Amino acid sequence: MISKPFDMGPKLTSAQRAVSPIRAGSRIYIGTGCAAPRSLLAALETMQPRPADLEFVSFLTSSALPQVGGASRTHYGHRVFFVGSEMRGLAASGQLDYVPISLEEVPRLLTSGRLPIDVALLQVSPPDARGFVSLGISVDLAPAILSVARTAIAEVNPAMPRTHGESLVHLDRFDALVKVDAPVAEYVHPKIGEIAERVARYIASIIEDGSTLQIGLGRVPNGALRYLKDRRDLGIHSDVITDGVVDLIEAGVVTGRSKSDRRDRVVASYCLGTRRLYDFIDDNPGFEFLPIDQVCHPREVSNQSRMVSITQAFAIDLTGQICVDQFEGEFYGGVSTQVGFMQGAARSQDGKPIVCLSSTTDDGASRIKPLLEAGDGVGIARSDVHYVITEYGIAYLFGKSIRERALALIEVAHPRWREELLKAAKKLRYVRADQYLASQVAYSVDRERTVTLKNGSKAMIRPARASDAGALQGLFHRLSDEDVYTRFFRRVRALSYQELQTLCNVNHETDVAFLAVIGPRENEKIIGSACYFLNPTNNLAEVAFMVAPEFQGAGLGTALQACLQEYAMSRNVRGFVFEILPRNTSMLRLAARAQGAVTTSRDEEVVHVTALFSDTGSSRSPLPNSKDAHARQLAA
Amino acid sequence: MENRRTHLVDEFKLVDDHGKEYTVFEYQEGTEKPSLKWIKAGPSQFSLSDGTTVDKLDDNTFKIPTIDRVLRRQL
Repeated sequence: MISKPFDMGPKLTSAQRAVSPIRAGSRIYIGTGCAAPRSLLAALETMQPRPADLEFVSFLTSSALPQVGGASRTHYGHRVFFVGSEMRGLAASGQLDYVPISLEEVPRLLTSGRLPIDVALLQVSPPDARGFVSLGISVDLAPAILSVARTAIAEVNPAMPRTHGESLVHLDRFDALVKVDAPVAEYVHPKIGEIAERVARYIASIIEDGSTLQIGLGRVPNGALRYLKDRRDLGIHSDVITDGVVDLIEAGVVTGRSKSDRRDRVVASYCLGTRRLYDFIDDNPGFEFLPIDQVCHPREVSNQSRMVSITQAFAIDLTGQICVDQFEGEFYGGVSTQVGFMQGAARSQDGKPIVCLSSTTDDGASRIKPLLEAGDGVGIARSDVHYVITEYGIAYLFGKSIRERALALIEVAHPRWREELLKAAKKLRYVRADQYLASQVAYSVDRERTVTLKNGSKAMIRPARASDAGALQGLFHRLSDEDVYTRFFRRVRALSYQELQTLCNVNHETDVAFLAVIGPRENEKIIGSACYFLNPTNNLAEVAFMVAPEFQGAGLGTALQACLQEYAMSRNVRGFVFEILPRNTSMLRLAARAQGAVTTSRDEEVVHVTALFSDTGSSRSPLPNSKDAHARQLAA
Repeated sequence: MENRRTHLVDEFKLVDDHGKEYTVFEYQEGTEKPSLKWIKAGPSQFSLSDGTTVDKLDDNTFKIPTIDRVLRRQL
């Protein structure tokens, strides 16, 4: 057994001496994020005479550059694959060169010789007894860099955790070593506000047990981790991990048990976090840190089933084009790993690529725009976009037409902007000229209910949206002629677009519609519809149902009625009125089961059933007219 | 306010005594409720596709008065 520390002696030197051979015109790679070698960078910044025309290359830096008055100061040019907060200020001085590229393509860029690297500056752990150091919290591009750089210099920091995976490099590869004894830089995600919390809750609502997650750097996706405490057997396959992952592991939520590739392991390429995270990953075989192209290539991502990728965007247009690296003319963020993960998650079995954004900027402008504007760069093509989540709900775009996309996106825009967006969409001919939006309130995920039917199948009952028109038409065409007649009291060959809108594009105040759906959100099939239309003069609502033939007799009507009634009672509606053809026995039975005092009358054509809810209290809706008085008599 | 109007509410097949098939259209005056339910407000009127009037004798028996031909539902 070897126990003697490996001798670094001959290569150990000071930071100043280590960087002194760097010649003018060199291109120098800096280790990523919190693993940036700060003493080496500081030595280069203070070097006299200063080498001319140095260019630094980095993916993402954090606390790497000297700060003066809260701004980064550097004497050199920086070529970056991601414009973080530290680099953004350099654009004005012409010192910043942003390279829009998918990060998993960078190793190929390097090995092809198109981006020669002269010097690699990294921060590593101390060597083990055999002379291997660990790349620690930043493997990502380092293996590719070390395969091409002419010179490699490392800070050796005992505070750098030793990580598992493909993180080990022998000291032979380094030309100079500099001992540092400083804490590894830490990164704490800023707290998210109330709007972002709502987005985060929506994201969490569609993450199922057994999913594998990629979280990215965005604050909102990281915020979503807090809402996953009740999930089981989640896995992590992510470019970056943060402290939130530790919480989920300690809570027993992340086990990796359901991963289809690298089971039981958290796979990442780098991490950004606090000492707590660094201590957690130190010599922890539950974590595998791998090169960026092994983690983020769409092929690798798609190997995981139920892969969920979450990307935070700056803006989206009504066709689904996503702006991720340039907003209002300024570059920040980057293409990074987003395209690879979005495409990989889309190809993963039951995968979910998610784009999230708040509906407005801090200034109140809509991030959902009719068209992206000059200065808004498209980072993710509209064809790659599936889920879009704002604080107003979830829009699913994949496979949808421009009309359907525009409508779905307007429905998750801020209510203040919906009318204007609809107007613009009409002008662009994205939607029909007669399209309207009845509801100005958020889609209420709290109103979603999962019910188990008599046939054992599960269905979700949820509020209807304007964009449900197409799927509702599908339900209508599955109905028998008799079903149609008893629903509409006449033969109807097809529902017009306006009629479909009446049944789903409702204001959820006086006109209310719920749908019963089966299947995943991205591929829902409507199996039932329940609506009510309130008569404000008597505060009674007329109700109507449609149930797909294959679900008739399964208790779906009862479930829809219960949901509709729960909603109506919460809004102090006095009761329901059913108009039923005498031959429609199943509907008569359903009406008889309505909650409250049920009275029935019949004329030549129609049975009228009135159900007055027992606990709404007629005193709360004083209606001094004769119709109401009559309704009260019926209830007595 | 719901508008009263005449609407095609049904169409069905009838046969005469020679087995010849006729398509009969039923029109009603009425109103459409917000729920899209049709509320009849008067008697039904029946006609063939060319506008020929058809009289209803009972639920299953109809007559073309101009040629005195009785039509029945195929049960």
